[in-house]
Amino acid sequence: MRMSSMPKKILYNFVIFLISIFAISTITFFLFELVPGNIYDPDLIKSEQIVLNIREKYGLDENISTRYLRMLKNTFSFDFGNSFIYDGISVNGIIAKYFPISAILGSISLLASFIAGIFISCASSKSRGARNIFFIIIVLFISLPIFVIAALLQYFFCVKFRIFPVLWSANWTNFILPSIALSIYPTTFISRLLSISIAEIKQMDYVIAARARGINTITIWLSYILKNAVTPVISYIGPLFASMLTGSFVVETIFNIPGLGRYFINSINNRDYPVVMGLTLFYAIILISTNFIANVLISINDYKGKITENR
Amino acid sequence: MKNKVPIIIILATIITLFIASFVVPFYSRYNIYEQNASLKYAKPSVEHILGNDYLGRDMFVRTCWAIKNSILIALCSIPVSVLLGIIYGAYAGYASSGVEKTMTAIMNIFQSISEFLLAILLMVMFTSFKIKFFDTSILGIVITLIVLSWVDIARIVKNETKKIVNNNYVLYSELKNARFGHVFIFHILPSIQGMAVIMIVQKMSSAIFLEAFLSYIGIGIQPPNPSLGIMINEGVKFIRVYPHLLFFPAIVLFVLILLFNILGELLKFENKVRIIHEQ
Repeated sequence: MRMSSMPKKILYNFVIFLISIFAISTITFFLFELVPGNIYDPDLIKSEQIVLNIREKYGLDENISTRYLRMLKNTFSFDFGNSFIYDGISVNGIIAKYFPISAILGSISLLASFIAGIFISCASSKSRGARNIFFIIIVLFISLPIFVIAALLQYFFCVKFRIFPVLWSANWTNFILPSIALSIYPTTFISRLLSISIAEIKQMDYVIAARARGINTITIWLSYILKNAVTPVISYIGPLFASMLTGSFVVETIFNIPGLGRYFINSINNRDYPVVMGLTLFYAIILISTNFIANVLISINDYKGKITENR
Repeated sequence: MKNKVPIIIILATIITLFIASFVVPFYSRYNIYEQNASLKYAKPSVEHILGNDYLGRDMFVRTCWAIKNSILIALCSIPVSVLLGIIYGAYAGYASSGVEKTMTAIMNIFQSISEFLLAILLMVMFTSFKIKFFDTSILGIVITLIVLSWVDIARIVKNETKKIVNNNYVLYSELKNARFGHVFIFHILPSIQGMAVIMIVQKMSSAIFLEAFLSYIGIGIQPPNPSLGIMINEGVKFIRVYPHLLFFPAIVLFVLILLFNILGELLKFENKVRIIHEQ
């Protein structure tokens, strides 16, 4: 019975994964169907034939069910359509061109926030005073919205003291401030989760036993406490990724980074609906996949725990 | 009892801020929409405490009205959403295993689609409607917040309910033919009310953040209606020359979110519960 529970859970998560992608593409499609307006200006284009040609070119002449099915098929084959405003530009091309920079920025910040989060949570578990001080700092930083952090960082370090360049030049110095801004929220998030689980694990019997056996402190911390404390963070990887994405929208617009987040915000403001739709689906697929992977990791971890319990 | 004092102080501050932000614009000499071309980008002075923005509108009145907007939006949406979440979660925890599985699956689907993406989608739709004399954006934000915030609450309440339902007193009332409504009102609700208050406060702070975020990226409250997010966005544009346009709304937004966060932390400390905060 136990042996089959892990594949069962993975299968369940996979079904949830598929239904989620189906649900978000359906919601996206019908919400954009509700949006008023035409892709052509009816005041400018009077000719019946031109209107027909435009509708045919963008596939709008078919009825709603055909277009819905086509959209579903395209989503599951990772084809997100074309821009209406900029002719001949496909969403896949946009992703290929702009996503790498966002991905680099995101991974730097994620790495930095993991390292900083582990350090903060270890330091705050040292004493009661340290815990209270870090707690106050974390509450202060949680209350700072990312666009405030990014704007203030830019003001003080780029404009006032001129340490970092304002303009984007694809230099490594351009990445420092954005990744600081982007990693602050994940850092508070991770350090909060970790310090709760560290406080619990520190009082476990096996840690006390390890202390009594005279194993040195660094080994206890690394292989007894942190190894077990990191596991609850896995279940929050989904929200963590989501906050990184929304952070990237803001940080990229403020620091003028030519990434996918800035493009997304620009196309929202330009009302380039197909691009907004395509990029939303792309982001949704990333988020849903990370959630799926996190859930699979959790169920594998549970399974491992059960095996060791059985012994 | 000792811990009650800071809670009351913070709560009083929030209520005062809310009432003041409601009242001040009515008694001020300046209108929130009134433009003054000679006072564009004016620095703070005695006449205009926080200066004037890029159209020469008084920043102080606009900031007040923006505070009122954010708190009002959070107040209109979050209690409704928390109530929905509690009912859904309680029913999912109480119902038979088949129903519970379906309801949990729906929550899982909602959670794996990020709330930010759903918010952006919904707001792109709501802000595209142009109805005369009626701003759909504020109603849109309220609906969006209601649609998005119930899931986390429902999940926590479901887990709590499962513990409560196992108690003998619930079994006893079930033996006396009690329906879900009876169990919900007399057994589930009393034991989660402390938690519900904490969740409302925490969700209020994230609702204020979400409103400012949406307004910042241009799909929240629509100008000329003031919002802290819009004001920060305008401030960032002129950051090199007129930093005061950024500082005041940014500080106000920070203080507003901070007040709700501190209140939430104090309440959590009082009730000894641990709920991880998510922005």
